[in-house]
Formats: sequence, C-alpha cells, structure tokens
Amino acid sequence: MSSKIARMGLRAPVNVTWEITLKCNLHCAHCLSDAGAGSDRELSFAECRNVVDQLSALKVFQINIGGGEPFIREDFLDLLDYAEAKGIISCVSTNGMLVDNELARKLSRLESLYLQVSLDGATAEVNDAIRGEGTYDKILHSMTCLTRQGVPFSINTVLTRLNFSQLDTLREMAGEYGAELRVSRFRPSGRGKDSKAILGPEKDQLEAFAEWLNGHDLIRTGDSFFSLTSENRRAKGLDMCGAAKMTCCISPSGDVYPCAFLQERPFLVGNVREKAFKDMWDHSLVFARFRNLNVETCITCPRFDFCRGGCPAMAYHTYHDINMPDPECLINLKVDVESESRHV
Amino acid sequence: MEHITTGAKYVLAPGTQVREEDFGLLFYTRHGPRLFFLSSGDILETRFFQGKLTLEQWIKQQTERPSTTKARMSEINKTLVELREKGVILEQ
Repeated sequence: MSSKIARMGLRAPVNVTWEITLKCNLHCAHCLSDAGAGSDRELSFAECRNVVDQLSALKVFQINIGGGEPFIREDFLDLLDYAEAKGIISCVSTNGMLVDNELARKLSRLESLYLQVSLDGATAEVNDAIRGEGTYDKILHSMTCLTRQGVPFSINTVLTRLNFSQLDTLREMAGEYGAELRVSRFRPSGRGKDSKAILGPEKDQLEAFAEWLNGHDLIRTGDSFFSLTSENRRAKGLDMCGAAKMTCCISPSGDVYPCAFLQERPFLVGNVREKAFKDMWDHSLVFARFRNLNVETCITCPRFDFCRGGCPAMAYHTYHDINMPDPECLINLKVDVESESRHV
Repeated sequence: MEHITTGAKYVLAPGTQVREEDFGLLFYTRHGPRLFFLSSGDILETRFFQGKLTLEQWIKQQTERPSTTKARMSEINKTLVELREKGVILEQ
C-alpha cells in the first residue's frame, strides 16, 4: 500500500479483527488476549449482527475472527451464516479442540469461510509445551476432519524459539493436509508478556527466519513479518503497519482498538454499543495518531520504505512508546535500540 | 475528446469485490495478493463493472465531468488492462 493512501486513510477498514469471545478451552502460553474465562460483557448475538450490518454497509471485505475460541459460542455458526449472507468473508482462527466431523460438515457449506487452525509445533513435545498437554493429537484430528469434509484451511504457527527448527516439517505437514502454512509473529501482549523470555524467538533465529522466508514463497505471514521481509516478498502483503489504516480490532465486549495487540487503555477508540463504527473510524484521535505515526529514528534507515518503523505494538510492549522503532526488525536486531534512540 | 482504444467492457472476476475510495477504487480478491488500487478519483464508480459500458462510453455519459483528459483516460485504461491480466476483472 502506498504511504500516501495510508495517511489519507480509507473510507473503511479492508478487514476487521474481531475477538468474538474471551472464553477458551485452552490456556496457551503465548495467548495475546490472555483468554480463558470470558467476560459477562461480551456482545450478544443481536449486537454482533448489528456490528456485521455496520461493517457490511461500509463494504468491509473481511472479518478475521479469533478470541478466545470462537466455536465455544453456541451462536457462532449462525453468525458466520449471517456474515456470509451479508457478503463478508470470514477468516476464523480456531484451536481445533471443538472441530469434529459434524462441525467440519457444517463448515463445508460455507463459501465465504477461511479457517486457520493453530498448531505450534511439528511434534507433540513442542506443540503441547505451548498449547497444553494432549492438544497436538486433537489438532491433527481436527485437521483430518476438515480435510475429509473438504474445508479449506491453513495451519497457523506462532514462531517461537521452541518451534523455529521445525518450520520445514510444519510446512511439509501442511502440504500433507492440502493446507497452507501461515507463520505469525510472537508478540509480548496478553500471556505473551510473561512467556516472552521463554518463547520469544532469539535474534539469530529471527535473522535465519528472514532468510528462510525468502526461500519459501508460498509461506503466508499476513502482516506479521513486514519488518523482516525482503523486497521480493513486499508485493505479497503489507509493507507497513495496517493498524487504523486498513484494519482495526473489536474486542469481545465491543471495544474498538487499532490492533489486537494493543488492547490497552491508551488505545481505546470507543465501543460499538455507544458509537457508530463509521464515526469512530472517521473521527477517532487514536486512529489519527496511528495514521500519522512517523518513527523518526527510522526515517534514514535503508529499510524504511519496507516497514515504516515496523510494528507499533512491539515498540509499545517493549518500550511503552509506539514512536519507538520495532526492536525486532532486521536492522534493530543488531543494535541496542533504546540507547541508539537516546542519541538522536 | 480524442479517440482512445478503450473498447472493452469489464465485470468483476468471481471472488472479487470493489468499493469506492477517495483515490478511486479499491479491489479485494479472495486469493493471492488481495488488494489492488485504481487511482481513478471520482471518474469511475463500482457500477462501471456491470459490464454495460466501455471506458469511453462511461466517460462520455459523465456529463458533469467533461474535462477528463486523454492522458488520464489512458492511465486508467492501462490499469484496467493490468487488473484484467491479474484476473481481478474480466473482459465482458
């Protein structure tokens, strides 16, 4: 996306990340949302339909639904039906625990659905250390059910220091299921704050991962790794943070934030129970701040056009300042960002 | 207006959606690179992709915007051809 268009802002997001519930049947060590028990403030089905109505009216193309575990909500399939009827593509991130043949069969009739099944290791030892004991076998079973029913899906793996060495095997596994491998970035939000020291990829792993990505064109990363990717991957996705420019996040209780990784008080835009989504998109000062974000210490960097300073959430969770550079970009992996910035 | 070879009529390819933006039109496709931009300002509308009019016919009927230059039309036409080659739109 050109930076000019980004600064101008779109009339509506291209996609919206929607954490539909905080309830979860797992307790993954890196969960960005610290999901578990859920909240009694979560949007009702009628309120969710109202959100879909608003997004549809704005021609938002896609909603990326996560949580928590979305399929825990008993009304979730009805909501997917509703979004499909409204012409919106749904991309659902699931831990696979509730996916059996029956659910897979129901999902197979949805034409506007993409599924991402989370798998954080190519072996039970690695995956279960992150996602919980016994989950590896259950995830594989869920993927078998989806494959049998012809439901397209991708395997989503959060890159950690434990699974880094298994990327090639994970890629092969995805191929065996007829799925794509999508690698996401570990971010120190939610429970990731506490597990970063154990799970966060090491510097040399991130550098090696950048090389690995260069050699594997078909691996998807969403917008996770634009701070690491090279010129030849830029055309595949974003080359800058899309928060408030192309996307934003709605929490289970309807709070709106620029990004799922920045669901913190300073970045609260408003709540869909109280304000029209369009009004927030057009007039929020929080969104305006993100659209005009300029990480000054990065401007002279040779990679500035590749990443525009990288991920503000990484900067915030590392330095409590979104104006700081992404600490894990290819350049900053080699320097002490904090002390460098003090000299500017 | 000078004649320009803009004789094709276009429709959206299956799985493509389009919406109007301040800069022009924003296309979303379900596969591959997902977003495409057409910097057409307010010259084109999503209705153009109903496949009923060529670019030239479309612009001629926009009587309130008679000042579309040949260069501007060529630019838009070139992007339309690129979008067709990428499978975002189909020639009718």
